[in-house]
Amino acid sequence: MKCFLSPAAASVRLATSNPAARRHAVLGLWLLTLVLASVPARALEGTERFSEQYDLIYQIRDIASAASSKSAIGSGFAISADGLVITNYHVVSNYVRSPRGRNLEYLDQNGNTGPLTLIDFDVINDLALLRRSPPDHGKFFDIAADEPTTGEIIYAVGNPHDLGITLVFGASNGMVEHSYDPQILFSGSLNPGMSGGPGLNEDGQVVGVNVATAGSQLSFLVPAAAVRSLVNGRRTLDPEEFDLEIAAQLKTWQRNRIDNLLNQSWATKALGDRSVPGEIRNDIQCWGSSNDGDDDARMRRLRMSCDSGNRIFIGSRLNTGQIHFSFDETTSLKLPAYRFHHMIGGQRLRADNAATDNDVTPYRCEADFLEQNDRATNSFRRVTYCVRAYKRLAGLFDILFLGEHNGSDTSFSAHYTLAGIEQDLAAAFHERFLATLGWN
Amino acid sequence: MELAFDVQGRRQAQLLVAGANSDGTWRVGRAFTADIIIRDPAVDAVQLEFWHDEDDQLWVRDCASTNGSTLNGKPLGADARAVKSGATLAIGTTTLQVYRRDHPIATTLPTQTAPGWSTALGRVPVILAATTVGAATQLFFHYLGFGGEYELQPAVRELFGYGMQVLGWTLFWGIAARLLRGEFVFGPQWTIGALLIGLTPLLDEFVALIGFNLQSLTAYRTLDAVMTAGVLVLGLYLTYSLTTHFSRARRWAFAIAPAALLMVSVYLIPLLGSREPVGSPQTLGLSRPPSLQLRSGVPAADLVGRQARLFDAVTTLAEEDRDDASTAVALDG
Repeated sequence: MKCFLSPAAASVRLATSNPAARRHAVLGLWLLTLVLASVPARALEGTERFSEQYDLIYQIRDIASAASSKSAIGSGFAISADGLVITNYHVVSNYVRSPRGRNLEYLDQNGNTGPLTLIDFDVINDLALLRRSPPDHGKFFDIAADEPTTGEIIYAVGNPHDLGITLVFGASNGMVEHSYDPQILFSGSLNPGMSGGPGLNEDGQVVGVNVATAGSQLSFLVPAAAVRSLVNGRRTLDPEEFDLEIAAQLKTWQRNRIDNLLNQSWATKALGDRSVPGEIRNDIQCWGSSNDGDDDARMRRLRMSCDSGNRIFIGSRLNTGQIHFSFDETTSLKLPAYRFHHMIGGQRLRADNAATDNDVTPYRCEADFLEQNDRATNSFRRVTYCVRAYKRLAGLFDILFLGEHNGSDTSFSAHYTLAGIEQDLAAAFHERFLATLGWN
Repeated sequence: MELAFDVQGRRQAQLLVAGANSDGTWRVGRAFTADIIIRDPAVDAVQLEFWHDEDDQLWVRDCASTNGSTLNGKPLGADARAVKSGATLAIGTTTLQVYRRDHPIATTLPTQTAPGWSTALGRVPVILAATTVGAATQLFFHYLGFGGEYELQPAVRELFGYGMQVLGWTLFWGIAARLLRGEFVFGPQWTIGALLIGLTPLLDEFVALIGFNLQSLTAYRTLDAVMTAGVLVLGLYLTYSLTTHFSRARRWAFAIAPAALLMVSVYLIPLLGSREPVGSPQTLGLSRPPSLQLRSGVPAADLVGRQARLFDAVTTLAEEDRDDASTAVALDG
């Protein structure tokens, strides 16, 4: 599970954790220092090499005007002579979601603060482009022309835990294999607050932007190419346009992604005697489970669950973009039909993306029995289809589907979630999904 | 101190024994919370109050009753009148003779056991307290016990739920109290009622199963309708036959009320719309055929049109919300 390097969450965790956890955190920091100290050659070399560039790295703060206290912290870095600064979208997401009564500020190495203006953002790659005023002293980071090669050393710089500039080095492991959007897999420990900081190569050029960590030395960088296209294609957004822009970016991204999915043949997997959609594209991963080894089981359960892994972060309580589907097959072994039906009854359907009622409408559902073509099988098919709309991102919907095919001693259910999708794409996906199950 | 009451009415011929309440009183009336329950519609909920003083003298007064009472043939008012063992009182169409426990008639009766707490069970504050505890427990487990995962449903649904609970608990404790005081006469309606309550979930399951095995949605729907109608009719009969101490009009009202409440809860409240929890588990009663929105099977090709309506509905919802938000901003600015 990937976690964003959200400083707000981290500080809350530290503040509310019990003394033991706090001790562990302190111990962890101490160990980190120890580890950094134990590799003096590289660390020092790095520090010496980049020390003059430290001035180009800022702490990005999201200030609630009324309270004039910082509510979120991340890192950012200068990318042009005229004051353009790159950070993560999620660092400034609170501001994007409710610009009224909020300001963005930078804090540089010398303790100077000043206002930042949000120019443009890219929610898909989690990037934001800011302008610093007054402009910097003319120095800025170069963007590397090439992607880092596997094994190349990357220095990730940022501001973890609000402790000041920290440098973490690790190796690039190339692009993340099962991901629709390119991300660099980085074997270093990014920490909360380093979000939005640069990942530098040996020459001090930006190869990526710190974005997320999966813990244990597994972290992710947004590739420099995404930074370059954001900077080159930038247009100055008015705060009034933020929601429209988020919706437009999600729609373009989702349309390409679903079109691509519908244009290829779907790989199927066997689940019991059935053939169901499986890893239909490289970025969709499936896991299976069963209770086959349990001799006392009264029911045989088979389950397969597939997920796209993409979660587009929109706000602290809203993420979207998931394609998730799962299948369950339950066969009665020792149960009479009545008991079996009682036990498989009352299944729960849940959304796989996080959203609150500030962002989405309630689900509206429709449950239908499918026409029986063959009465002899003593079974029925029922489909439940639920839709909710995004309130602020007009034209986008979340879809929940549950299809069941129940007989007197078998039960099969197929579920999918599509998050942040337009109606026509949802309908096309639905048709394809049912066709693959042979339900049309 | 214990008193024996020989109750002779049109619907009642009983010898009842009751100990005094903690405040030294006995209350006589139609209410099931009374100490001596009179099954007579012409009697008030609490019509008479007896009490004893420190000298063991027994007193009685009429609690401003509608139809009045007499003591040994003389009208009884709100003023206390001394009562001797064997005195005759007339209330409504019922006569009542009161004996002290040491009176020869009363000594032949079995000793009353623990009248105190069984009486207390039927008291309104006790019922309210029990209901509050029950409702709070439910509230805790439903909404707070799961880390706030569930969001509160509309107030109308909540209030209705708790109202039903209060009703249920009141009936439960009232019946329990009468049972413990030995005032309960088991008739066939109780057997039917118990069977009905006990078997309803089971019958429900069987309907689902039969409907399932019949492979006919029409058959299932018919069965379900027959079952629902049967439950309503039995419930009606049950309530009507158990409220003999009420006037005819009130008996009908009491009999129809639960059926009406059931219909409201099943058919009308869903029409008001429910706010499903957002992004949290949705119990959709899957797998079993739904009893109310049942339709005949549809061709898969028709699903798209049905689903399009859902998109329209949620889009309208979202637009309404956006309009509200922009109005708020305009006012703010």
